[in-house]
Amino acid sequence: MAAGEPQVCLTVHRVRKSYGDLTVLQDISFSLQQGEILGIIGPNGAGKTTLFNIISGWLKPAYGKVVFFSGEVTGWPPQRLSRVGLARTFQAPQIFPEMSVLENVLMGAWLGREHRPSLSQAREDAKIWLSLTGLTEKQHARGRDLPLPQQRLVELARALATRPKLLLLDEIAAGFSSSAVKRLAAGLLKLRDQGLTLLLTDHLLTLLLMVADRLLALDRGEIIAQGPPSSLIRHPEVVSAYLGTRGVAELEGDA
Amino acid sequence: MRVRQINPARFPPASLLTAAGVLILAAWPLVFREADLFYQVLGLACLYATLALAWNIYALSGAISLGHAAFFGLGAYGSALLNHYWHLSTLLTIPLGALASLIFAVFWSWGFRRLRGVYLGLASLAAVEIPKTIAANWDRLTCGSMGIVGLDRLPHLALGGLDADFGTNLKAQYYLLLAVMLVVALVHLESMRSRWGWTLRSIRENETAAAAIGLAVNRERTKALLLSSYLAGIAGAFYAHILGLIEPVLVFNIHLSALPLVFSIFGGRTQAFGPILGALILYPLEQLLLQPLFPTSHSAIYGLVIILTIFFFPQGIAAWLPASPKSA
Repeated sequence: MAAGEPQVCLTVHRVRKSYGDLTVLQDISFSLQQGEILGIIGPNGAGKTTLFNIISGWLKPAYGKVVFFSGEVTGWPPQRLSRVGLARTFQAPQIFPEMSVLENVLMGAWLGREHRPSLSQAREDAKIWLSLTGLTEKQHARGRDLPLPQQRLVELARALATRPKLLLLDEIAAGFSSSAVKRLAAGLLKLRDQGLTLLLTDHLLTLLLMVADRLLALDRGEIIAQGPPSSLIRHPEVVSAYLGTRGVAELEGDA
Repeated sequence: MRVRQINPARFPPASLLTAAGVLILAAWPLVFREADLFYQVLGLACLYATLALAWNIYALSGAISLGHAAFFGLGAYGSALLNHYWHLSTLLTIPLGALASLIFAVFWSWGFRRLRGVYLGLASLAAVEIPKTIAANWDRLTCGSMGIVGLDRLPHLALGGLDADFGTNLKAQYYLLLAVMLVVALVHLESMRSRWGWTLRSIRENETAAAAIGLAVNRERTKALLLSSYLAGIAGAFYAHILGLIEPVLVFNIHLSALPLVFSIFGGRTQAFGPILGALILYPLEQLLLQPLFPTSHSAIYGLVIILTIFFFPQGIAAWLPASPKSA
């Protein structure tokens, strides 16, 4: 990690996780430069969400470590990671259901920041994030009254309002119309230009193909390929994993 | 469905209503000059409102306790024992005695840190048995199930021209209990609208989301419990000296655990004045109206009133109050 070079934002080193006899992640290692957008792809059950949960502190790895900038953060609880600038959203959106959209985002801007901004300052901030995510018109709607894709946007705006350095987005674009995906992609690229580092999963690849600098393909808890999106989606192993046609011999080898 | 917008920066616009309410509570004894029964009942209603407010501070963090009788009773016993053995003034024993509740709350918050919802409710219901059993069996300290009689009443204060015997003058006692309730109401209000209040609300609405924006769920809930338990202990300590006696079943009983819950939910537990409204309406209703009118069936009617209210107004009757205008 030489000085002057672009900094390494996140390093995942030899992370393993299993539930009982079922190994969910085996020996996952990768790293992420500051300002990079990395997408993680893989079929259902590949371990994407488990990996996200380990990086964001919701699960502890059985082995291995997670390094955020220069400090090791393995096993830190989520709230502590959020405080140092590692934020995330969830596949099943987690919002404050009885609060308005504005109040949801306000909580991120007001309560979620280390230097404790004043309420009026936080409200200004929240409004900026609302307009960036296209939620301004919905700001007075109650959180739980919104459809799920919009709840994901609320969660995104709230996470951004905590001013993270690294943001993990788990299936953020699920259920979005193609025009909404385009708007989201443009927004994320703009945030990246301001220095935000992003780690995303996306089931349908549409968003990832628009924004990701690099893709990492996961299958059965292993990294099977990585590289720029255009080449990775032609990678034979990725294609076969997505199509679910792996050799019988290999299946037996795994068991 | 009406969407309520709450502006955390502004005093609730219901402030006029609040001022009117406080004025009525302060002024009615000037009109009804000889009404000891009313002073007594309304005084106790204020005491139970204090307990309900204290209970609700913990509930604001999303934890429904069915065991606040433990804190009420420990405060009562703490103050009673200090008074009984060291003959300290009740002015000292009430704030000091309530520390016993605080100590119990420390064990509670550690022991129940992983429990949520009904599991927390059940555990807290059972938790009352611990101090109750100790109080009932540690004969040398607490005189066991016989309890202690002859405790000092609330003090007689003479300050300048003001001469108030809070122990025997029921009107003075009412004003004292009203003042205590109003102070605790302010603490409760701050626990809703301050930065910490919104922290509690975030945790109540979604613990996962709260942790994801950096809030320490267990730590903040513990703070709420410590505050809640101490204030419940204060209410219990007052109770012991109002009666002048104490025994285990008098304070460590399920009725006292249920009271703050019923009052808060009846009044509206997410409203700043909900717990007060519940206590000031339900307790006098039961004592002054239902008991004299229906001496044999008053409990059933009382229960029916509560059931119907919660059925038709699940948000509590405070939801009838004017909502805040759209904010921000």
